[in-house]
Amino acid sequence: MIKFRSLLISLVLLMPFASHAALTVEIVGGAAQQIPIAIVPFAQPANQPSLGQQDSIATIVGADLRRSGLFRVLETRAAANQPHQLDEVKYQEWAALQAQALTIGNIESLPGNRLKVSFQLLDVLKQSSLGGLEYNITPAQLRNTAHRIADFIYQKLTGEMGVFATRIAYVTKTGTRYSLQVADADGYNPQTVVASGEPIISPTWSPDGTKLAYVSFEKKKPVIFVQSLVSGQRYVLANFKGNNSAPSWSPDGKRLAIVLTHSSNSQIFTINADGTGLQPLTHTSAIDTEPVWSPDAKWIYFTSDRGGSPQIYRISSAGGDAQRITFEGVYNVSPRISPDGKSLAYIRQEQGKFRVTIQDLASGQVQILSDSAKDESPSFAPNGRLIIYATSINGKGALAAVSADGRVKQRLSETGGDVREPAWSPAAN
Amino acid sequence: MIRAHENPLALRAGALSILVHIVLVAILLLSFNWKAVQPANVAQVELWDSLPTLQPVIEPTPLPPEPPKPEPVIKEEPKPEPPPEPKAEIEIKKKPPVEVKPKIEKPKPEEKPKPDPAVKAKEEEKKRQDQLKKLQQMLAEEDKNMQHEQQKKDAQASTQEHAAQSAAAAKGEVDKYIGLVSSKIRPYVNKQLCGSGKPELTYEISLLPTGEISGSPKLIKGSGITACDDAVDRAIRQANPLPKPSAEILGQVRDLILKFRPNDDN
Repeated sequence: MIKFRSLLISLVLLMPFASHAALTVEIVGGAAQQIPIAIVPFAQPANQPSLGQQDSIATIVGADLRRSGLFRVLETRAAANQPHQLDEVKYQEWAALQAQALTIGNIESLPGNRLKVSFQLLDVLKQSSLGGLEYNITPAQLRNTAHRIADFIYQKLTGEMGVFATRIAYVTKTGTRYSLQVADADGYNPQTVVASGEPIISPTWSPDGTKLAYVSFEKKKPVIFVQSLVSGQRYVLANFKGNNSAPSWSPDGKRLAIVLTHSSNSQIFTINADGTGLQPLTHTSAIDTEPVWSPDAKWIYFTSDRGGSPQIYRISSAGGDAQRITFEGVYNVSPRISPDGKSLAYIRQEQGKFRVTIQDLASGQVQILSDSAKDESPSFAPNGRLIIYATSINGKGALAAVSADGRVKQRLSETGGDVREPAWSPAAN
Repeated sequence: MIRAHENPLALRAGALSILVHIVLVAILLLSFNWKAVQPANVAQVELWDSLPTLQPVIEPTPLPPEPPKPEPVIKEEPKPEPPPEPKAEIEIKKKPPVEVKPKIEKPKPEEKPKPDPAVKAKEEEKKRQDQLKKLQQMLAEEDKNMQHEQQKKDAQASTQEHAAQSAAAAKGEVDKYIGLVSSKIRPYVNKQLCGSGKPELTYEISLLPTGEISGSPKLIKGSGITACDDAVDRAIRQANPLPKPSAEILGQVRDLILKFRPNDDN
């Protein structure tokens, strides 16, 4: 009895505590795919700076975020109130529109034909600011500024680097004319770097984003040039006997790996960025080509037919024996290493179709990413999330992109031109 | 056995009633197995609440023949009373969701019997009072004691009852509510921001009676991916207000641990 009573008493005494034990709710999976964000058109001075037809900072930012596939950009005209300052924001209105994030901003005129662009990214649900920036720019920098704002938002909300303010180099062919161009990552502002009546191929960015190396046939044979995007000046990097092709910058920008045929078959060499210090890297009777440096500079991945069919191998950048990397399939070419060094993208030919493929370097797991048939020249975005590549649409070269997990595919070039050889620039500084 | 007709002496009656009370208390503390005998319980829960009102009604009926009933009733009484204790245990145990189910069923039957015995005992006493006015004082005292006990019991009973009800209704209703909460939040969870691994993260929230989240979700265990933690935080906030919990289960769902496994499929 006593025992029982004491038990009873202790139970009664414990009741208040026991009653506060929290229940556990398990929430497995998630159905949302995109972050709902509202971008209020920025307040502008009366003499509205021109960004092109009907474009504004808000629409450029919105288009960038939408294109990433990770954002749903909400229509802001539905909101009664269009805030431009923090104290004008009525969070409930935006919460009612299901917005999780809200961007407000201003453009102001400064003396000397300059502009001050400022913005804030707000968390609608927490009713707090996630940060903001202010830019002092020329009107010509408005579009780039919009991309940088999109990068800021993207980074804040996804935790990954944004790549909207980056650029893409590519080669167009119009008639018999080849043109190496550089455009914003959204395809705007194309600038011609060099044009020629002969083919231009294999553009590749220097790690600092200020130079392009490329192969031009203007001398009736492939010669490697390096050209500054700042000054437009260029120089010949490699014009040895035979073919000079497939340049790739080392991560520190001091050397390039190139492919020469001056002794016999295609072999890989390294050379200083000023064209001196040529050194052979591979010594085989097979074809070794398409070298690319790993981000840690330890390895050079390349394509070789030394095993009988084209496969991807790697060799220490200091030389030595090569290791085979791809084993599935009979034709794997054009290796590219992801910025984090963990994945290898390449082109696999299977049943007559050439498709972008990605391989996890640690596990060897392979996934075919694209579903087209004539894909070539994969190139990672600097954040590794997207891979841009050239494909063929109606017999013409076109650019497309696929997310590194294969979930999102998109075509990038809508113009009727013939576009090939894309190369994504490094991250903007 | 004790019959008013026999004209027993006041002392005898008084002694008996005292004895009965002692027995009642003893049984209360001792007996747990009695429940087996007890009949259907459903209506009895109501009696508990209405005990006070029942007494007045009963008093008017001075009929002598009825006395015999008291004894059987008394015996039964013990059975019902024990339940209060079990209830306490049960309730406590119920709070931890897992154990609840089996225990819950037992409590109900036990509780229900209580009302009857108590009421009956009171009836007996009242009858005796009528017949034996001499005993009034003693009885009055006893009544007071009884009332005290009853009040205490009532108090316990009401809390116990709540618990018992929640326990009863609860298990099912709490489970249902948990399901509602999960399905309200899940559509807002953006797993695209949670990497390619199998992150797990835990938030804790407190609810207002309206189902609104009180204050901010509290991150108990992060996924290691800030964007993922933030995305889940936004999902919880966007799901606010959560479904309104019924009053019966509010106490149990006021604090909720939300465990997320965004990249697992279910």
